[in-house]
Amino acid sequence: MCSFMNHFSKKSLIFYACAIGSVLVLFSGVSRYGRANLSAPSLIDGAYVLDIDANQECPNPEPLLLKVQQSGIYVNAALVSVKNAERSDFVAPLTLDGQWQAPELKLAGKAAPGLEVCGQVVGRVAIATQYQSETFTGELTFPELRDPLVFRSTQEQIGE
Amino acid sequence: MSQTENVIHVLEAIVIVIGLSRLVGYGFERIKQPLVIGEIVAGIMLGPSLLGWLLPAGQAALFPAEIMPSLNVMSQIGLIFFMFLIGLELNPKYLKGNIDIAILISHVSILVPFSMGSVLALLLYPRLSNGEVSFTAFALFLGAAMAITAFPVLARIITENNLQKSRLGTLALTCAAVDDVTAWCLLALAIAVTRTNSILGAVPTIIWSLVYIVLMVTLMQRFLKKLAKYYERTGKLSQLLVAGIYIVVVISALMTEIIGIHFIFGAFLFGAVMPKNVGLTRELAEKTEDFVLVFLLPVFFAYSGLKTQVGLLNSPGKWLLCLAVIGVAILGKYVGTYVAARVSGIEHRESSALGWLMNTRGLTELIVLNIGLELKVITPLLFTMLVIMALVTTFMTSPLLERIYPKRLMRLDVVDTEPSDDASAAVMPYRVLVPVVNPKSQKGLLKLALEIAGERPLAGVNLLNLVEMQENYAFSTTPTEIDRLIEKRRDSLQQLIDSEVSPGNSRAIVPMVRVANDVARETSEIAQVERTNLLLMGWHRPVFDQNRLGGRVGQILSSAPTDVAVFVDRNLSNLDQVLVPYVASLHNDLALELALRLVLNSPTRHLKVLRLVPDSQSDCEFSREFSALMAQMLPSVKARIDTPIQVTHDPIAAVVEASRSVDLTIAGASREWGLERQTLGRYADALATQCYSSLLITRKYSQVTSPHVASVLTAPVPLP
Repeated sequence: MCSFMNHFSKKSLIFYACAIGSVLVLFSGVSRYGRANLSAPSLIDGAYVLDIDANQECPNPEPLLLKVQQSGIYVNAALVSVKNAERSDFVAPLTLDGQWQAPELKLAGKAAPGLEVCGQVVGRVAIATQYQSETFTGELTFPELRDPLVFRSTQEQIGE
Repeated sequence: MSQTENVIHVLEAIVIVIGLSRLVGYGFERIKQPLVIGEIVAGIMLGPSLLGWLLPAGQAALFPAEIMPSLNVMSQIGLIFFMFLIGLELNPKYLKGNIDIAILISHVSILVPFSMGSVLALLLYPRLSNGEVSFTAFALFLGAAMAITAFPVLARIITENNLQKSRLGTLALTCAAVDDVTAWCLLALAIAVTRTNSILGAVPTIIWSLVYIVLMVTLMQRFLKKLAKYYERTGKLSQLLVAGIYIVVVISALMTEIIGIHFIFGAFLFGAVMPKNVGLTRELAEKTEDFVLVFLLPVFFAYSGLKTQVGLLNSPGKWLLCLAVIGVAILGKYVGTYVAARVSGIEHRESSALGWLMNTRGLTELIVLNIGLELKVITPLLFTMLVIMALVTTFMTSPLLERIYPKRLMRLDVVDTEPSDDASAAVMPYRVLVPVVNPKSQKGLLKLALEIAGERPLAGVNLLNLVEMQENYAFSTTPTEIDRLIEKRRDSLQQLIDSEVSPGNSRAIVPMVRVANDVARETSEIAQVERTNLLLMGWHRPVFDQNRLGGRVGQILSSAPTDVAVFVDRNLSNLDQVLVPYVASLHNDLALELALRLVLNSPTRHLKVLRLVPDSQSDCEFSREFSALMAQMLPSVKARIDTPIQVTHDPIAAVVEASRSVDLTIAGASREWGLERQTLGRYADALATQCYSSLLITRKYSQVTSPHVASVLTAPVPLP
C-alpha cells in the first residue's frame, strides 16, 4: 500500500486542500454559470378549473378540471369533470402528455374515462393553450365535437 | 370517510403493503439480490407504475386520498427510527481498516460524483426543474444524490459474501461509513440551501446545526455514557428506559427539523452518539428493529412507490435523460473510487470491486430522494429517474462483484483464514464436508466423518457451521455482530473437535464458520470450492414436510455437486459391523464404496453386503466398477466382507431385521428402501424410522468419479 496516505501528513493535507478546493471552485463556477445563463420553466403545477364558452353545439357547457403535474418542461395532466373530481374515490390518471414552452402549453391524450362534454362522451382530447397572469386561455379539441371549445381557466388554483 | 373507515382503509393498505413487500423481497433474495431492493420494487408495484396503470380504480380503492396523511405520518416515523438504527449501527470499529486510505477513497468517491452531478445539473435544470427552485439548490441536491453510498446495503452485501474480515471488506466498510457521514452532512447542507434558496441564507442553519452536533457529541454523549454504566450494572433495558430513549430520539428529530435541516438527522445523530456498549446497543436495536423494519419501513417504501411514476418516462428523450442520470451516477462513483484506490496502491481487481461496492445506493438514496421531492427541489419525473438509478446501481452490485471477485478469489483475500484451510487444499486428496447446525448434538456425525476419512494423512474433515442471515437490515447482521457470532460458533466447533479428537492427533479437521443467506446454496458452493468428495449431513425432520429427505436436507441433496450422505444417528458408539443392503443402483454403489472405505480404514471392521432378490432366479450382480474395486482388495480385507443373498418380497422388512445385529446400515437413496427422495408420505422414510442401527443414506452425484475407495487404495498405508 502506498505510504503517502498518512492522513495528517503534509502531502495528504495538500491533496485534500487541492481536491476539496477544486470541487468548490468547480461548483461555484457551475453555479454562477447556471444562475446567469440558465432558467427553468415557470411553475404551472396545480389544478385549474376551465370555464368553457358556450357555442351553438354546446349552449350550456359544464366547467372541467385540468390537473397539471409539471416536471420542468414536461407536463402530464388529467382532464376530468369538476363533479367527479370532488369524489373521494375518483382517480384521474395523468393521461395527457405535452411540453411547456412558456407561454404555450400543448397537451394531447385521453380524457378521463367516461368524461361527458356537451352531452357527448369524449375519448381523446388536444389542448392548445397560453398561460398568462396565472390563467390559461385556449382551445379544447375533441374529435366527437365539430368545433373546438374555447376556455379560460379561473384564477382560483386548487393546490396539489 | 368517517374516522373508523379511515382506520379500516389504513389497516387494509398495510396488510397488502407488508405482505407484498415480504413476498417480492424474498423473490429478490432468490435471485441473489438484497431483500430491500425487492421491498422497494414492491412499493413501486403498488403505485401508479403498475397497479395504478393496470387497475386505476383498484389502486384508488386500496389507497384512497384520505389515508395518505396517515401513511405519510407512519412512513416518517418509520424513517426517523430507521435512521436512529442506522446511527446506532455506526460503530467506530468500522474505522479501523486502513483509515487513511479509506478516508481518501471515500472523500474522492464523494467529490467526483458530486462534481459530475452538479455539471449534469446544467443539462437537467432547464428541462426538469422549475423557476421556483434556484440553480444552486438544484445542483447541490443533484450532486448529493449522486454521491450517496448506502452503508446498510453495502454492509449486508459484504457480510453475505463473507468479506467482512477481508482487506476489501474492511476497506469498503470503512469507506462507506465515512461516506455515510459525509453524504448526510452534504445533504443537510443541500436541504438548508434549498429551504432558504441561497448559500448565504443557509449560513445560520449551518451554524445552528454545528452547535447542535457539538452539544450532542459532548453533553449528550457524556450523559449517555452514564446510561451505559447503569445498563451494565442492572444488565437489562427496562421499558421505562426504552421510553426515555425513544422520547429523546423524537426530540432530537424535532430539534433538527426546527433548526432547518430534517427530522432524520436528529434521529441519526442521536443513534450515532449512543454508546457502543455491545449489550445496550444490541438490546435496544433488537427491541426497536422488528417493528420498524417489518411494519413501518414497507409503508415508507409504499408511500415512496406511490410517488414513483415510471409511466412518465414515455418518450425516447426522457429515457435518454434517465440514461444520462444513471450513467453519471455510475461513472462518478465507480471512477472516483477506482482511481482513488489505485492511487492508494490497491491492485486493479480490488479497486474495481471497491468501486462497484461503493456504487450501491439502495434505500439511502430513496430517503434522500423523498426529501428532495417533499421540498420540491426535484420534480416527479426526475424523482422517478433517480429512483430507477438507485435500483439499477444497487441491483448491479452483487452480479458485478461476483464477476470481478469470484468466491474462490474472495477466499484468498480473507485475512483471518481458517487455520490450515488453504494449506490443506494442496495436500488432501479426500475431503469430507460436514455441515453442523448444533455442535452440541452432533458428536455422532463428526465421529462418523472421522471414521470415513480414516487416520490417513491425506484425508480430512471440514466441519462447517453456517451463520444464517435471515433478517433484513437486522442489527444481528451488522459486520461487528456477525464477527462476534462467528467467534462464538468457532469456539463451539473447537469444543466439539476437542471432545472427539485427542490433542496432538494428526487428523486434519478444519473448522469453518461462514455467513450464508441461503444455507443450502452456500453449502453446495462451499462443497464445490473445497473440492469435497463427500458431503455428510445430519438428518433433521423438516417442519412442514413428512419426508425425512425433504426440507433443507432435500435442497442440499438436489443442489450439491458432490456425493451426499445423510446420517440418522442412533447413538453410534462402536463401528465394528456395517451393513449394506444391495440392489444394483447408482446410489447403492456409493453406499458400497463408503462401506468399503470404512472396512479399509479399520482392521477389525466387518461388512455385510446383503443382496436382496425377489426370487431365487433373479440376478443380483455387483456393478462392474465395484467388482473391479473388490478385485484390488487384499485377501485379509476380503475375509471381512460377507455378501449373502436373501430372497424377499419385502426388502425394507429384510433390511430392518438385518440391522438388528450391526452398528451402521448404509443404504442408497433408492426406491427399494423407500428412500427415494421424490417419494412423499409416510412410506418415504420407513427405513429411517424402523432401522435398529444408525443409518447412513447415500446419494451419488456422478457416475464417473469414485474417489472414496480409490483414494484409500492409492494413499499410503494407514499409520499404525
